[in-house]
Amino acid sequence: MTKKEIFKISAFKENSVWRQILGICSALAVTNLMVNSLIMGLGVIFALALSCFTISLLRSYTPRSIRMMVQTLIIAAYVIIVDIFLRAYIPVVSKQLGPYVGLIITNCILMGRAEAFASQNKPLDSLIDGLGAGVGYTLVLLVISFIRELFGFGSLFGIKVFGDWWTNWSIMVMAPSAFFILAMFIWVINVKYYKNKA
Amino acid sequence: MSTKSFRDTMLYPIVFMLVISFVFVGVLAVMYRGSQAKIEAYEKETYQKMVLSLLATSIGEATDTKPFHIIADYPNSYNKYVKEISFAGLDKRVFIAEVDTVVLGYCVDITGKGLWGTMRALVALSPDFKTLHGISIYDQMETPGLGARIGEEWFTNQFNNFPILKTDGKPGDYVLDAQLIPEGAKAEQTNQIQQITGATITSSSVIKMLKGEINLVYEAYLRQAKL
Repeated sequence: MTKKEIFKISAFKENSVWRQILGICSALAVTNLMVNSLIMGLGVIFALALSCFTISLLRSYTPRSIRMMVQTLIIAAYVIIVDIFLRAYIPVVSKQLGPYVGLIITNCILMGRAEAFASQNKPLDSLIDGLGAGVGYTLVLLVISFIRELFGFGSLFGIKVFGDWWTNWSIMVMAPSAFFILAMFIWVINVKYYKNKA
Repeated sequence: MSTKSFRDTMLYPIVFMLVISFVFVGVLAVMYRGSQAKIEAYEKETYQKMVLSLLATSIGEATDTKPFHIIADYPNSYNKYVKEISFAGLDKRVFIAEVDTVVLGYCVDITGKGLWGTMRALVALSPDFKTLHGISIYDQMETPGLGARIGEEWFTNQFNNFPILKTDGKPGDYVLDAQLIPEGAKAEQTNQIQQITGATITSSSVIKMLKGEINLVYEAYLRQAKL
């Protein structure tokens, strides 16, 4: 497999959210504003790519019996780095994301990629796989938050798109709307991209 | 001697885990040290801004400026009008707003017990301590979606211009008993506060915190005034 193929497969063909249904919790929770989604996505890309890289580097030294402990430790370390960075440099966003940054540790995508790919492949391939999975996740988050912010606040990235005539749909601001949007999004992807029968 | 290498022994996973833990914790500790000052500076700024915005209405009335402008003028306005003082025998942070040595109001940091943990809040009081000018709950561990709604504006706004002292207060019992009414009900008396549906304990904890803490603060204030 070429590097490009690895990226394409993990970002699109085997996308963690719409194909493997992983990382749903945060996809529902932090998608009310596009800025939050973008920063969450960048945090996941960073933590995922680097932890996959590190796990892969250490894979031949890691005893099988404790590999999951080691993976969790590595993932946690990178997530804490993201958390410290956000708290120091973008505190407003850090406050809005609240506990969700720390919860990247428990995001199934990270353990999933670590187990499925990084623990058996070369470091550079793992880095690219991690990047791809992170980009795929961010993409889904951005699609959902695009719809939610547009209809819920009448804005995109905080910039007003609709004028004063627009009445905000409060359902879009609340978490339940993400359930519907995510489900519809997966449905569209299944029909259009995988050509599954609806 | 067996031909078993160290990697096959039981000890290897333990040593490996220890080493890797030390390495990662070390890296994190260095990172945290590096950004600690920045995080603390930000926390101090948010805290001071909160004090300022609680006192802004009083300062605004005295200086004939809109509270909005005073808050926007941080940190100049904070340094100009707000001072941290202490009352003898009171272990709390007390802030005072002054314009030309005229006291415009106090702001006190109070703590209380909520349902799950400690709540911390800043309250603004009139110069005679009779009226609450506002409350801002900045740290709490209440249930998200229920008790955590004490941070919402509609709840805290109920305490703006709330008469906090009894007219016939005695030592140890200066503070007016607030009365909780259901959420959405209209307050008919000035001492009525709408509680949060599904968070009775949290709502009454806020009232209890105010009662206990402001009693202490007022007593310390009276002692101070006598000196």
